[in-house]
Amino acid sequence: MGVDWLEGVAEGVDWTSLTMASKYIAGGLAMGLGAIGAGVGEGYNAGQTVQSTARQPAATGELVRTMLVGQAIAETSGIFALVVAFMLVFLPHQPSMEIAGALIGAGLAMGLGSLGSGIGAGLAGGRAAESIGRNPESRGNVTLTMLLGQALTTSPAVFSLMVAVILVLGQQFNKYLGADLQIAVAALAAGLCMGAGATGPGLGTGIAAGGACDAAGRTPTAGSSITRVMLMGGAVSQSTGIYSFVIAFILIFFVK
Amino acid sequence: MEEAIIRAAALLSAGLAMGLGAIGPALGEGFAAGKACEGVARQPEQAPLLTRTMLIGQAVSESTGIYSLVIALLLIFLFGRG
Repeated sequence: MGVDWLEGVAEGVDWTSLTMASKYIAGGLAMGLGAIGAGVGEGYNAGQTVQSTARQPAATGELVRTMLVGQAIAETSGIFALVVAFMLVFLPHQPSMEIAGALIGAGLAMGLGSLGSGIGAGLAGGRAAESIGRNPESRGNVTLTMLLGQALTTSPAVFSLMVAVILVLGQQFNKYLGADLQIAVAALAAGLCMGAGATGPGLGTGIAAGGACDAAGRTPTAGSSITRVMLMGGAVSQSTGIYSFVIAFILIFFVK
Repeated sequence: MEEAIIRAAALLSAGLAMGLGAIGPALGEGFAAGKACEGVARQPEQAPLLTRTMLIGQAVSESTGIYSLVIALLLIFLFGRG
């Protein structure tokens, strides 16, 4: 008993409707998942800021300013997801099984990929707010450490954006005509790999940046040492995100 | 078609292996880096020692991430190419 029935299905399926269904599902996945990270992270940042304001009411203006900057950086992960969702829903796509797999992969890549970076950036901002509340004179040092840390935390989301854009806009899937299941699944797997793989580095680097902001508040004079350790440790944390990016690349470009 | 299904399964699991496998090491290494920063705040003169200890610990934490990478590459190049 073979799988000839699957071949029969493959010949009879209307690829146009499947591709359109997959692009709407992918758009929903991208934005639905992509909204989580930024929301949670910015909320944590806001909560810590309110708590610090209760400790130091005189520093409210500075605390809120720092909070808004930190929240803006956490928001970028969500904006990437919005852009990818628009691209998925409104751009025309050639109808085939491979393109359908690539579109779902793109939605998963950006949706999952913004999760870790959003929460991580918010975590860093929240601990910075806590730190400034404890020691308001260290605001300059802490804010600088927070910005550097948040920038590193957002880089997995940038990799996810790159993979999502390649999957949506890339021309390499246009030559297939709906007969290659492994190409469709490889494209989906590439998006899943990058999306899930970006979660860990985003969160981990956010935890590292949070620790660095806390440290910069306690000992502002050691600011450059702290930043150095944070960047080194954060770079090691990014390494598995790079591996995921490489595997996603291989799955997109080197599967025939 | 059977071959296509087998190849598709190998490629999907390569993506799962690396995607899920990247989460743990990164979280652990980030936690170590955060604690190292807090340690530097407590004893700034000891920064080189703290950095060295952090990197040793992170290298051990990376090991399962390397295993995931190896399995993903094996799945793609031995079983994903038919």
